[in-house]
Amino acid sequence: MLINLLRYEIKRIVWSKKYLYIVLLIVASTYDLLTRLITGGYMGTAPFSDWTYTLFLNLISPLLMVAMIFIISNTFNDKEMRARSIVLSSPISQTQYYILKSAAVFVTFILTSLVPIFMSFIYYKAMFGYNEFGSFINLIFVFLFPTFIFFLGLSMFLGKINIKLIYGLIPVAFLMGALNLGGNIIPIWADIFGNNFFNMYSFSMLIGREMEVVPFEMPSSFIYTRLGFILLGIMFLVYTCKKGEKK
Amino acid sequence: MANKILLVKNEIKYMFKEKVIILLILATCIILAIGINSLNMTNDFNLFYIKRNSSTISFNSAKFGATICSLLFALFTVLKLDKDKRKRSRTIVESNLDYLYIIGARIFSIIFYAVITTIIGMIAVMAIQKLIYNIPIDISYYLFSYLIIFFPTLLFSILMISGLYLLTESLDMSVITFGMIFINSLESNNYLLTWVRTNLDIVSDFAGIGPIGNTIIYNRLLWFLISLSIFGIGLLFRRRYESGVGSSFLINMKSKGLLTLTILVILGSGCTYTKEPYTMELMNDLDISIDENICLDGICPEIKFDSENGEMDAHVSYSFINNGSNTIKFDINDGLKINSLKVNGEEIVYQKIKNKNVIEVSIPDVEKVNVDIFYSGSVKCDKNGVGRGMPGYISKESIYLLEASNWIFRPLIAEGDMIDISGYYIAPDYLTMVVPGRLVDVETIDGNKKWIFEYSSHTADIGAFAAKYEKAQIEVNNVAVEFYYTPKHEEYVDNMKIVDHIKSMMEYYTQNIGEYYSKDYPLKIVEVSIYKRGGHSSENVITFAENTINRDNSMYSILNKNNEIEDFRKVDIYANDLNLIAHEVAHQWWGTGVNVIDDTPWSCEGLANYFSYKYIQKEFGDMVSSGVFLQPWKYRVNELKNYYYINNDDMKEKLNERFIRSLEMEKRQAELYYLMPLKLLKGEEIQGEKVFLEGIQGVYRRHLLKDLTYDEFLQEMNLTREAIDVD
Repeated sequence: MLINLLRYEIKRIVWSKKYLYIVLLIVASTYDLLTRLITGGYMGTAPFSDWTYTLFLNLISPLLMVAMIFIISNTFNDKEMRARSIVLSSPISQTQYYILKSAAVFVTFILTSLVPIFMSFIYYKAMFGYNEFGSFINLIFVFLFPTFIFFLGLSMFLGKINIKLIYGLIPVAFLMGALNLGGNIIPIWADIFGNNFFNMYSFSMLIGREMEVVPFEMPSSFIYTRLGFILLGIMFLVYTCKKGEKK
Repeated sequence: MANKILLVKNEIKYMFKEKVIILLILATCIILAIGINSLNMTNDFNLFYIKRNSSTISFNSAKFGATICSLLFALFTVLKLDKDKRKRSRTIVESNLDYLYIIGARIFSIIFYAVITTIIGMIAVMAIQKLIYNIPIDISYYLFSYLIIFFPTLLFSILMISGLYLLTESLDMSVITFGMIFINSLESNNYLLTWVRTNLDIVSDFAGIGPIGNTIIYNRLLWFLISLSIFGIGLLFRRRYESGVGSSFLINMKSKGLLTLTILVILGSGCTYTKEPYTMELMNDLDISIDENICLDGICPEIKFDSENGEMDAHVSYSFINNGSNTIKFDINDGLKINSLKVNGEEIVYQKIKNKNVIEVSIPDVEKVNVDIFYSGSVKCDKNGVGRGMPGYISKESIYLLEASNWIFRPLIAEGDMIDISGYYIAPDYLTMVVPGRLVDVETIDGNKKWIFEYSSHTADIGAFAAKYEKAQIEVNNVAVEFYYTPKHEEYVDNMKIVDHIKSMMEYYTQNIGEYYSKDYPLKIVEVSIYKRGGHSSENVITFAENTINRDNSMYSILNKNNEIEDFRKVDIYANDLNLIAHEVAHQWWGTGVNVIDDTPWSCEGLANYFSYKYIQKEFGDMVSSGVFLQPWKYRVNELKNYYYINNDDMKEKLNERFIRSLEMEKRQAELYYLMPLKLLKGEEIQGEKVFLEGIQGVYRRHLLKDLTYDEFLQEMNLTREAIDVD
């Protein structure tokens, strides 16, 4: 039954004008980024280098995350809250309900991220005849997923307290993703998007480089912070599932 | 009408009771306070430790605040507009009164609170400046920063998000679309598109807001029209009761006033964008083709500056030697309109070359050709260079005109051995004009001064610089040096011993290169505004941007009483500043004294950088000179060697022309400024410092006021290209 409900939830999100509009914006934004910024390559690296692809992921992230936060906010809007009392009177527990909602958003996130990812792959193939996308998968997992899981957990957590707090999260996500404040201002453990790390790391690795292809090897400290964000996100989710509903 | 006012009043009262607005005002004040120090949070090393004053404090706080608060106000606006939809109370409201009134009242109330927030935020920052930093307040900078930058950004955010919300009727869609417009503004270099925080890095303490004021106001006008357009479109698509987008639009269209106004503001936005009057596309050196059959013999510029209106009136006479051409091309500035053009005394019609700022003038097939051009207007600068790289401007407080702005129309022809240049500049008498060559006389005429000058040069690069200057007269080895700086920065000049350093540079270069090239022309060192970063040298005038001598008092601690380095944290900045002056002074030997013929990587830039590096090494030791210059040069050269598009030339076809050009410029600059001095250092390493410098002295002596090619240099220095190759 849960699978059917999940399918229904996903369909409800994806089969809407709002989602179509978001996807169109993502398509437009991806096209603009690829043709305007990515073609030139990041700091003189190839446009299909891991460095440039990470830049692409960093540039597309704020839009993806804010879109997802909005989708999550729908879980806590008045209409949904009214429906929840009916849903919870069925044999679905509160934990199952939130897992169902989170899983639906998670699948939607995957579907949505596939749009810019596939667009970039097609672009690389068509423009540069490049098709070795294996290393990009790694970057997608390191840069996109922890950020999303953290925001998913945090949004669920905040939404449960008060939906207005989710709206407060939107400018934070936009600013943290779009502004690069430098390594000294945003410490690595608070670098949700990983863009400040990427900026500092690429400076240290690419300035004065003595080879054309510099391997993008992420330091373990960075990987730990990404795992930390995943863990935090999951903890927020668990808390949301366990904490009793407000009367 | 009374009902509408009552509605707005109630909305304002109601918002106040909600307390969110209080939080928003408080958050804004905190953000603005943090923004005071935002310049030191950037990666812009050259702007670190800039002296705090009204211009920097007000502008930095407003710029930082505008970036964050525009998002906060946008979100607040859209939540307010969406309130009835979320609470499902819209139908009830609509049954009582036109919902448009409610929307209007809400937007008006939010704008009212944006005004209140701006005033409170401005007062808070002023209080911090006065009470914490104890710096006197210049209200004009605050009014500019908060009324022209901060408040309009909030206003545009409110109008745009309202329009987007009315258009989409969705909180999510409107916020995401707004976010995209916001991010695009942050990423753009075009001053017209940077509506959030403008593309200024800093407001000049030297020149004030005059040189950029018009462009900022124009940006605000454009975005006011764009945000009104979005708002108007939103109103046209505002959903009517029980109606969809299409039917609502048909109903709303019946309001002829709204429809006309929306069309007008959309057309206005388009016109304002396309007919932008302050900038142009400047040609870069790579695009210029020179006619070798004609050479320039003399120029006589007679210029009158109207600094109040930012305009000039010019009559420039050119003398050419023609060896068989029948046309001359001039690279012009689009802001200057030609009133009349005469060839050998006869008025003729010229042709403007399509899509280029170049005119073509027909000339007779005679040996001596004189061209007189009469033109007037305002100098335009590059769209992407507003506030950062303006090669020319005329403002009330200062005049800054480099040859690169084509303020004196540049003939695209070969330059003769020596060009005789004489003429005059007329400017208001409160300005001190710095003229190239020798100042012959100064006459006072009706509140203006006429600065008459003359000189001979191997280039036709003519500059003009003016401001309310303090002048320090220095005598070094019988060479007169005039140092012009604003009295505002006198304390820093004294404390950081800038005059002593200038003397020391002159002595070092005289000793290690040779005598200064002229006994007739004094060296003029001029402080100019930050609106053109870095420095410049042409003929006997060198300029450097104000940040070089406008740092915080905390910089004084880097030197102790014995003039020794005390604070190594700030020494890099100090060394960098002095290096800029040393580099430009070195151009008096290489560039003006000896005409170094460009043959990449060979140019006067490499020699100037080599000698400024040597000077800094002498003053600060190996650790500083190597860390601040040598290492970054090596890094940059290595880095460019490994650029993908540089190594894969065939892939360049994937790039657009603008990107290819910028990549080629980047490569060329790295070769001229970094690779060549590294090659010279390699030569020094091979021959030993003493022999190498003696060799250079010989080269300088032999080529003084003559040309010097790369091959001549290598031959006379007993070096080969291979020997000084840097791997």
